Amino acid sequence: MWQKVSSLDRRWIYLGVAICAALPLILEFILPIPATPPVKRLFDTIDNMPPGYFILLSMDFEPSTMPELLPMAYAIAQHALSRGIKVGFMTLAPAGPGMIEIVLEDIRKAYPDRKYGEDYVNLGYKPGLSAVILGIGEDIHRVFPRDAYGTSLEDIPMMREIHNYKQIELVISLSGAGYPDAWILYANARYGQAVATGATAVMAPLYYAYLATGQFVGMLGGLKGAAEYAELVRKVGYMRIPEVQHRVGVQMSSQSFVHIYIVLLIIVGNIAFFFIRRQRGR
Amino acid sequence: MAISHDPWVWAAALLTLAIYSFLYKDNPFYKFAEHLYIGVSVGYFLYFIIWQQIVVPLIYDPLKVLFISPFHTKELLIIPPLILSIMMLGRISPRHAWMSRWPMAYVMGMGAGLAIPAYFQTNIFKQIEGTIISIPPATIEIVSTYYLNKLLVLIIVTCVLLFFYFSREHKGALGRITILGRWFLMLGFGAAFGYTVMARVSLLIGRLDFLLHTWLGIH
Repeated sequence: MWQKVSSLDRRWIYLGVAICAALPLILEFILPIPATPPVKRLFDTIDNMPPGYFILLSMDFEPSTMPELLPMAYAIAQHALSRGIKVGFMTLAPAGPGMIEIVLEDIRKAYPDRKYGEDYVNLGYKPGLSAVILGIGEDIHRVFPRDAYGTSLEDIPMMREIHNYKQIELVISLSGAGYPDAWILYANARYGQAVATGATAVMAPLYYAYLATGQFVGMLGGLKGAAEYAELVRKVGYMRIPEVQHRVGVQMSSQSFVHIYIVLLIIVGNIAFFFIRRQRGR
Repeated sequence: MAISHDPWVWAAALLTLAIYSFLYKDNPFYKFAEHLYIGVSVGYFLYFIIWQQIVVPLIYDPLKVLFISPFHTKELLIIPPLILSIMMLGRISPRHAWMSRWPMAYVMGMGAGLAIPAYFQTNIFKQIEGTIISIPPATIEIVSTYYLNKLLVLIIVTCVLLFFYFSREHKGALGRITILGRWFLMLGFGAAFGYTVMARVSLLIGRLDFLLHTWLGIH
C-alpha cells in the first residue's frame, strides 16, 4: 500500500490541490483573519496620519503577481482616501500602468467625492529605477513632468505643494521583485524617507530584517497580508469596495484549505518513506 | 450563475486553461499559449518601454527641439549620453566591440558609486545595529518578550555567522555552536520555503477565482 502511495501519479495530487482551492471559492466562506504586527504597524501609520498629508503608492508589480498585490493596493488606497490623505500612484514596473488603471477605475466609482488632481494623482510609469527614486529626492516635477494622462504636474493642484521627499509622508512599494530594496537603498538610506512594503509571499521573508530595524515602517506579506489589511480597513468602516475585501477573505480560506492538504501530503509522504525503508531493511 | 459575455474574459479564461493543461501533459494548446505570451511580452516591451518611454521622450523629442533651435542648452545635454548609447551598440560588430567598453565603464562606475555606500548603510551597518537594538515595544506588557526576542536574535546571528567561519575546524565548542547555526539556517530555509509555497498557491487561487467567479459567474 505504501509503495502505491509513494508512486502515486502527481496529477492526482494536482487534482486534490485544485479541489481544495476551488471549494471555498464556490462555497464563499471566510475564516477569521487576525492582523499580525507588521500589518498593524502599516495600518496604524496611515490611520494616525493627519488628513491632507501625501503618500506615494508605488505599484511596482505586473499581472503575474496580481492576485497577491492588487488587493493590497485596493485596501491601502481606500484607507488613505477615506481618511482624506492624498495618494500619488506611480510604478517602476513596465506593466504597472495597467495595474494602476484597474484600481483607479474602481476608485473613481467608489469615491465620487474625491477628485482627480486634488485627492489623488496617477504619475504613471518611469524607467530607470535608482535614477527615479533618487530624482524624486531632488524634485518630483523633474522626474514626472506630466502625469500618466499628459497633464503637466504644474497644472495639478495637489502636486503644486509636493516637490520632494520632504513633503511625502510615506512611500509604499507593492512588489514581487526587488523594488522595495531599491526604495530602502536610495529613498530611506539617502533621504531618510519612511518606506513600507507590500510584498509577495516569496519576497516577504527577506524583508523581515528591514522590518526589525525599522527601515520598513510596516509590511504586508502575500495574500495573507492583503487579507489582514482589508479586514482592518473593513472594521473601521473605510471599505467602500466591499467586493475586494470579500474576495480576498474567501481566497484566504482557500489558501488555508490548500495548506492543510499540503501538510497532510507531507505527513503521509514521510510515513510512506519510513515504512518502505523499513520493509527494504528486512 | 452568470457566465461572462466579455470576449476578453473568454480569451483570458481559455488561455489560462491552455496553460494549466500542461499539468496533465505537454500539448499544442499549451505551446500556443506559451508562444503567444512570449510574443506579447516582447512586443509590449519593445513598443511600450523601448519606443514609447525611452526613444521618443528621451531621444527623438530633444533631438527635434535641437533641430529647430541648435543652441537650446537643456536639450544639448542629450548629446553625451546619446554618444555613449551609440558606442554601446558597437557590441553588435566584433570589430567595433571595443567601443562599448566606455559606456559600460561609465554605467558600472556610476552604479557602483551609487549602490555601494547605500548598500553598506542599509544592509550591513543598519543590520548589525538591528541585531542588538531595534524598535522598542509599544506597550509595557510585551517588554519581556521584546528582550527575549533580542537575545534570541543575537544568539542566532552569532551561531549562523560562526557556521561560515572556516579558518578553524568545526570541533569542540565551536563544532556544537556551528551545528546549532546549521539548524537555525534550516529553520530559515523552511520558513522561506513555506512562504514560497504560499505565494504559488496564491497565484493558483487568483486564477481559479477568475475562472469560477469572473468567467463562470459562480457566486
